[in-house]
Amino acid sequence: MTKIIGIDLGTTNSLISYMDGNRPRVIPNAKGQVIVPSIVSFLETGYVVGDLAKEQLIKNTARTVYSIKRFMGLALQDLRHELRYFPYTLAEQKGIVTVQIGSTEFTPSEISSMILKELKKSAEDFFGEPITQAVITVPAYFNDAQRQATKDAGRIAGLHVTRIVNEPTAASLAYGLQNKQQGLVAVYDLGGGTFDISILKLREGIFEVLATNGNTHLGGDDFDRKIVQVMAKDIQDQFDLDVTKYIVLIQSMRVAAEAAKCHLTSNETTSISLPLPEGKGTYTRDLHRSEFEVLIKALVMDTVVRCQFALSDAGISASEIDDVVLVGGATRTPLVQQMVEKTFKRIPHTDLNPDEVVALGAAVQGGILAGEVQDMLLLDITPLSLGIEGLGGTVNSLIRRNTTIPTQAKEVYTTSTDNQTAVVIHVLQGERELSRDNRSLAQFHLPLPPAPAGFPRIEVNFIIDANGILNVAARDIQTGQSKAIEVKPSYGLTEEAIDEMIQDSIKFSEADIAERLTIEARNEMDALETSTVKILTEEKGVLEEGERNQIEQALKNLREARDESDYRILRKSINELNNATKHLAEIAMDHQLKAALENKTITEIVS
Amino acid sequence: MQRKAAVVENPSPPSKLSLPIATSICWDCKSEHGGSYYCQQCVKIQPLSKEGDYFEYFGVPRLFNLDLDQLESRYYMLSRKFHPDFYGNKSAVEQSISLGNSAVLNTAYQTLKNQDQRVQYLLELEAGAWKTTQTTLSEGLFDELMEIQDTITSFKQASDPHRKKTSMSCDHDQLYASKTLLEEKHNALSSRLQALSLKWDHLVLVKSSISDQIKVQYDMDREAILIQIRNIVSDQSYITRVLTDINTLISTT
Repeated sequence: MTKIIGIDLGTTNSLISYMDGNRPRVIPNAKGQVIVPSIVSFLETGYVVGDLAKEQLIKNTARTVYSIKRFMGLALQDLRHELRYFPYTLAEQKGIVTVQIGSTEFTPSEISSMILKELKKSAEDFFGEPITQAVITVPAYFNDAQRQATKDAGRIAGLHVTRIVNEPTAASLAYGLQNKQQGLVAVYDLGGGTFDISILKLREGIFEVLATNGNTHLGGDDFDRKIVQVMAKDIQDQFDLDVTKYIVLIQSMRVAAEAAKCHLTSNETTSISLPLPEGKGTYTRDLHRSEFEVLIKALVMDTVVRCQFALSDAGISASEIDDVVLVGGATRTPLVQQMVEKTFKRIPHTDLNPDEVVALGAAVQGGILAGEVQDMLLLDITPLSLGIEGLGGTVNSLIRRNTTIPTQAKEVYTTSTDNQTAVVIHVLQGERELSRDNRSLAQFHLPLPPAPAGFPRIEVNFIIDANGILNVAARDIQTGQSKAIEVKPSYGLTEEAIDEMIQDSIKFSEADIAERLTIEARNEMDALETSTVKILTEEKGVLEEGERNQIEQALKNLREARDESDYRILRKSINELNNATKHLAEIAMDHQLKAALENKTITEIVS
Repeated sequence: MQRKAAVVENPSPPSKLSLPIATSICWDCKSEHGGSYYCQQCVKIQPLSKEGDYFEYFGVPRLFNLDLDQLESRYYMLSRKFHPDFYGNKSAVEQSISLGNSAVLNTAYQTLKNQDQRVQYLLELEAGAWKTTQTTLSEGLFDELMEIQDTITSFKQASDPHRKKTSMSCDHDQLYASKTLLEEKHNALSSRLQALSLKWDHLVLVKSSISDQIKVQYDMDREAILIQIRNIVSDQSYITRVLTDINTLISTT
């Protein structure tokens, strides 16, 4: 029997787990750690993941990617409100948001696959055998595109994703296994970037999800951001410094805010201290827990409202809930615990480790699929309604939210004008009345033979599989031709793109990283050469002859090294020229820019 | 924690759980498999019959009031048989049958679990010959609804900011009075529906014990009950529509 491991691919942290007999366990990496920060940093020598990448947050800000989960399955347009908070460059390719590192663009699925590979490697080291199959968790409120993107990430990492399972439901599996409790359970899952509430009925080993609600852009990250905003305002007022101009400073603020938040979990006050650039000194501030709670109150209220929606959809009242399970690091926040207690009128269950419970549940689901775990079965639901666009931009709902999956629905449609040669099937997901307010999942044309309006009969068939992923088929009943249409996701990767990424990922793995580094170094050399020449001309008089000769020699060496294939030789010539031009760079800095930039190379100053 | 289960006056008949299946020939080994979910020869999953109805799937009689606890148990039992989780290592055909059966099972359960949906579904299932005949509003209710519609119209005019406000408060009171009246009517209809549905259920449960002499009368009774229930459901849906109108009006002014 092939092993199916469980993976919690989180916004902040990721974990991998397996079934050890009847017990799920998390798998430690070589250093004995089970929690891998979901961070990827691109260095000169390749990319690093986890703790190593975390160390790079401030050193290598623009090339260190965190919270990539927030971008899964989205277009740049969807992120317009939060773009400015991220210190790395975001771009777009065919409707998919990408992260730009040097001259290479990575999709969120690719970045996520790097995290998955790291986890996979830990498991392979642990078992001493290859791992090929995995259950990966996603927020229950993830839409179809976000689920697809997660599945794609698995594929790129060389994993067959046997199941996409919802995080709160996974948590309930781990909870149910441990507690053997029957009854109604609410799982409140507040992670780094997403919030889910799921109401489940546990009976006879069946885990039936009754309703779910959530917000895929609300989590501990947003708590940090509230503190960062306060700091930014303070720094502006006290030091007349616009922090948005300094990405490294913003990153330091974010890290300091996160630390402050964690400190406030068990302390009434915390103090923040942060060195500022441009010799502005040090910013310090005390933050009281009550101040912090005022900042995050509205965010926590948002989760409470969604809990009430879920209860109402489940058709039960808060007092009927037998137990409340807290999942996700952000549920450690005292205010969150208080509000949950108030909402469900009972003290939440905190026996389980909120960081590990989702991963453990994923392993249980893996065990069920592998046939190792008997008697347990998860009956999950689709979180959002699905339909197609009707006349006048309205939505024709085929599958209601909170419908148990797998499920299917069929509807027959017709044309509205004479001799229509095709109909457009526009697949939508969401709860709003008008199609433009919902998520567009796919759009395709079904050709028709000419006929009077209202005459053709087009049957549209929706089927949602156990992963919560939708398949749509449409056929023209009149012609008797059953024409199944393959749905191309509006916001997703095509098969070809995924194959290409799998190829690329091999290219980017250890062995071929050298080649990419060579290309990147060469690009950097070209930029450095241009800027050095430019600055030499502009700052003609200021250099002594010895120094000038030294620069010119380094420049010559750089030009000669350009065609070398070993990136280390290229790097050496870059470093040599950077060192030689350090003084010149300082002069140029004084002359050209009032805003001094610390530790910048000559390229960065001129460009 | 259990939600209220509908009351069944009579004990349920002995439960027999055999699902209708598409053919009695196994799709794979072509042997006759004897009507269970799996082929008795090759133990492969068999697709659910398209002709089967939701009550048959759960092996329960066509009652308006079901024992929801029992329904749930059967749903769980069948889920354990059909769910794709258990077919991960099986062939593509078996996986697809498992997916299809699970999808049908889930829809069937959602329909039977919900009181309104169950009534609607049972009516359609039993409608038979009068399926296509239009329902009309019951006498008296039509006039009352017309009157209330007038109240709504005049209230809308009165609350129109471009018109002079005249007897606004009076209209408001009238609107609330209409609302109360309609809610009472709706409740009264619900009670009647409940009584009729129990009568129907009783007839279904005693079916096996009736003699041929009273068979004709029995069928007439059944049909009479169904038609009454259908008219009540139709009246209720009209009332609900007007009530929704009133409620929107109240909440927006």
